Amino acid sequence: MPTRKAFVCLCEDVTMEELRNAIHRGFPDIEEIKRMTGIATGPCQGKQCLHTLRTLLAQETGMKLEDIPLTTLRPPAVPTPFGQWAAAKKEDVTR
Amino acid sequence: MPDTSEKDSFEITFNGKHVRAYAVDTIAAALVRSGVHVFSRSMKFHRPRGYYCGSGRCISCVMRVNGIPGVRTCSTPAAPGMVVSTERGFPSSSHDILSVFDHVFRKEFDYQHRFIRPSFMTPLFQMIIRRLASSSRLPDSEGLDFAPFERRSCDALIIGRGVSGSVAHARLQGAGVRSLITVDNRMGPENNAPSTAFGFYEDGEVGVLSSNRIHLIKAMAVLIATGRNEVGLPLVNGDLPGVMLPEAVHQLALRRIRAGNHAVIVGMNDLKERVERDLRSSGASAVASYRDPTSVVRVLGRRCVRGVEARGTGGVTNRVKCDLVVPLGPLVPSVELAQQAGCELSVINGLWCVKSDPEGRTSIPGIFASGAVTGLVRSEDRIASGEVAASAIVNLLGGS
Repeated sequence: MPTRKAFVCLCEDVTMEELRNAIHRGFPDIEEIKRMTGIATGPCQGKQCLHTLRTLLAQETGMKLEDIPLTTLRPPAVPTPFGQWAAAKKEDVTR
Repeated sequence: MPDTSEKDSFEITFNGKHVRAYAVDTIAAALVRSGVHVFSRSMKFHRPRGYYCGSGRCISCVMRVNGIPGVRTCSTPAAPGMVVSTERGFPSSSHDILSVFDHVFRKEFDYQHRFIRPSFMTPLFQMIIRRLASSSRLPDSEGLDFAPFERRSCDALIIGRGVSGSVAHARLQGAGVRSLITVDNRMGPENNAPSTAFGFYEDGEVGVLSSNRIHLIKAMAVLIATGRNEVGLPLVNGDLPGVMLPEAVHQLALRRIRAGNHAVIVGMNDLKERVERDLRSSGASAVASYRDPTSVVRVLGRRCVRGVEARGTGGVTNRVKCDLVVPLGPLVPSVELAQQAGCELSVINGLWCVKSDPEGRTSIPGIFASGAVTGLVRSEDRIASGEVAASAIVNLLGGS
């Protein structure tokens, strides 16, 4: 029987509980929570979890939802095979 | 309706067993049809995970396919003789003794505070943790064929094939824009020859992955029509196999596969009607619907969904038997690419959207946005915005 966990981030297995703890340990900032828990760093890059995290932050800290930013979303937004990047010629990457 | 007659069927191998698949099937669809629930194990707790988002966004369906690790089976068409196997779990994903972690760490596993002392042991702990969390072996060396990048330029690049992207595509084609490229912003199951925009790079070059090659496309005008992401709800045990987002149910229904016999719908969004239609057309029944997600105490089941425990009026909890839970979470504009491009974003109803003027221009010259990613919800508005943005692009190209 799985234990009772509510997941926000399925990629990195981050639970509601873990996020609440992070907020109450003094990290009420979305970028800090990302670095601390690993949320939004998995293969989906936050597509599934960021909004839920923002809602939770708003609830726990009393901030307004519109004042809570997104994390910096860097490319690639979709997983690409490492082989692709390894196949790049030198002039493709150093210009 | 796709043809699922016997003559189009073939076999694929899943964990050493034969599974029947049809020409219309993705690998994941064939597995669901043959009754497979557990597709993978989660990273930290080794909990069972199944077919979940159906749209190439999550990682619950990732498997090793023909020697290549990390393949999203929901977005990969099944082909005769394919060899598919699950990746994480010992001895297998279906029975994984490492799921003991789920019981040892009952609430969370916080790697900032665990296994860091004594400090001289940390490297060893890290090695073990990495080993346990890693999902797969390196790819088999044969069958790997990667080509160097290809640089291309074009007049107009449309990212997204949804409502507004398709409208803009037709409009630009009609206006005689010849060098026009339209790509997706995700790996979709409908996307058989995937060409997916994955990032904005220096000088506005857009990285597009298509048939095992990276293209760097420089366009005079880019239209970002990346739509919305379906997001799940953080239900207790809402990660069990048998919890499926609307798109997953839809993709199965298109292939005449029943996602489950008895469905419970949790939450409320624009896709509810389509979910109900998909359930009906595939012969499933919706046994209960909870508009307020907080009334669902937890999802029941061990290896897959067996029911839902919900709080009724007066705080009395009751249990409903089901084998499918469809969470209807918020539909969140897919702003990743726009954010990378440096476009200004703004909040509408708590959701970050791409800010665009009435002509569809974003804050970055040459980049336009239309459809749901700009915060539009009604389909008429999304269609109109695609047309307007396409006209603005025609003007820009004509004037240059």
